[in-house]
Amino acid sequence: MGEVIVITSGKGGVGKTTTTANVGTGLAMLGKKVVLIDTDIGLRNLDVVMGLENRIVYNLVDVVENNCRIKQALIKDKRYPNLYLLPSAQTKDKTAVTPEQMKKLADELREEFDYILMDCPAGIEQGFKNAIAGADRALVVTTPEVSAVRDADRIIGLLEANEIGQTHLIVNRLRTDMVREGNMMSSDDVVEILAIDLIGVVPDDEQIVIATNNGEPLVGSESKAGKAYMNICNRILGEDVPYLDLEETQGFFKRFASIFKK
Amino acid sequence: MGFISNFFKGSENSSDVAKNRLKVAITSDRAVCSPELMEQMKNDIIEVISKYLDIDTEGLDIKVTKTELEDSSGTINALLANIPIKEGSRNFRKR
Amino acid sequence: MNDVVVIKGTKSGIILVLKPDEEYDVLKKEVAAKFKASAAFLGEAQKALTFQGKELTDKQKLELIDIIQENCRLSIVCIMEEDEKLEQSFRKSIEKKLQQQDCNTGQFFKGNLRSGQVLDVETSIIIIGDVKAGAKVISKGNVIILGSLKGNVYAGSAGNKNAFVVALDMDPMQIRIADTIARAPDRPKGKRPKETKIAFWEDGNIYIEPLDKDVMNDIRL
Repeated sequence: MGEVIVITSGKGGVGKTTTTANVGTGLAMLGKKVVLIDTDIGLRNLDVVMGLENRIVYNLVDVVENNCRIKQALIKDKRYPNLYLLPSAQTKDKTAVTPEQMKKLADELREEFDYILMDCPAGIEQGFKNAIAGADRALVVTTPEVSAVRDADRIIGLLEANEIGQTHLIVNRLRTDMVREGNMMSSDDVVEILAIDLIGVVPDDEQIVIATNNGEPLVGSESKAGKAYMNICNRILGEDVPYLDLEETQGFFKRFASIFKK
Repeated sequence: MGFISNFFKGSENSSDVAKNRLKVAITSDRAVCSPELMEQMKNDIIEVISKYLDIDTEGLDIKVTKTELEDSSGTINALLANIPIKEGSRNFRKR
Repeated sequence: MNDVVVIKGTKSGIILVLKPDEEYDVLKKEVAAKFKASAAFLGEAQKALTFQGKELTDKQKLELIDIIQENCRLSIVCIMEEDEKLEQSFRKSIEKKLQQQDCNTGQFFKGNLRSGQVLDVETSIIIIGDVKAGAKVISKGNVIILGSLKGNVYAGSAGNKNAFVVALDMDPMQIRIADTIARAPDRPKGKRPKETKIAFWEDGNIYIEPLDKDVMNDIRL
């Protein structure tokens, strides 16, 4: 039986879709059968981030309205044979689907896939309720900014109220140089405020922008963010992976600082 | 330059400011009732307590916070009230 | 004995399948028994009736209807003739006529179609403006875009394989003509010049070519 994971944040633009694409691709690289579901009806994005936008024939709403079978709507990834995308509809809105329908869909996909990742829309309205309806666990994405952290807190409260089992935190776009100067909250600061378990810290990395331009997730690559996403995937699988990225960058800055001291 | 502006600004840097502001904002977000309701409750509490004690209504502070349970089995919402008693007043008024 | 008479229900009618090589008298008794047994299930309704399997005379058909109405609470309002060939040829000629109309009559649309917008028309359509990525045009006839095509187009949506798509700047995400879908290549090679192109269907494939005189001569309306 597969596990349904919802990726959510409350605030928009903190990197939910990028996280979904990278975590999903990473899990597929680790040999799991994965399906990514874009639940943002009316504002679909996951397809372009995955580079699969030109293959969409049917979408989530078609499946729910029985215009097609689930298999027809699933788009096979071009890189990994065990990775699939169920795209969202662009021409409908959030009310085209109900939480009950989403739960039923998730339960059907559970039979076939190891992981079902739900990319949640921003906000706490119907789209959010749809995305969390069938979820076993949640990944809350935030950036170390006051607005994002505050919205993350609200989301965590709603997830608790909806009895979503495990909730983990991903701190995205962390800039270690700014943290060192005291001008950005550290991941520890964010964890202290939100009081939930951390599952990953992703540094701010220009490679993300380049990867998104090309429609290719960078998980597993040698870039800092690529490694961070792969660590998150391994932690989802239950492995105890040390937090490497931050220390590496600190090492770099220490070396940098020592040059100045000379 | 970051460190120069920090030097002139004094001890607290912007990440600490952010953290403290967030703690306040989130505490009120987590409160179970709206600000209007809080205000009403505050006035009611003042009214009741004033019957017995001479209190400093200006310095009164009421909030709902998450508190660790005694057997540390989880957290619970708790009403926290800080009500200063005016100096010089007798501890208990006669009714 | 089981397959001598089979009752199939549809939304508004009942199909009675009779074993072709069985004696009429045997069928009669079996029909009576079957309908009596399933009277409760069939309930009270007005239905059309279709016979399948055995050729019956008109007299026999009427007799069977009487038997049905005696044995359950259904009332048979009419008999539907099952002549597939005739019906198919009717449908084909109607569709053909409609398709011709779809291709030969058209309308104009002025404006840009943006992501999430769908323009669905019964006739051919001439769009004065762009079809952006994520937008969709559906037409039973031809689609002519006096602008750039970056989104999806579905021409000949009723199945007309002669339908075509023309755009001043042809860079679509997907083009569908009748039941054939073509999608853009995953990696566009370098800079693409803006060029007026036509997309058409041939032998189960969709071809996109520059709109020159030869291609235009081949257009069939």
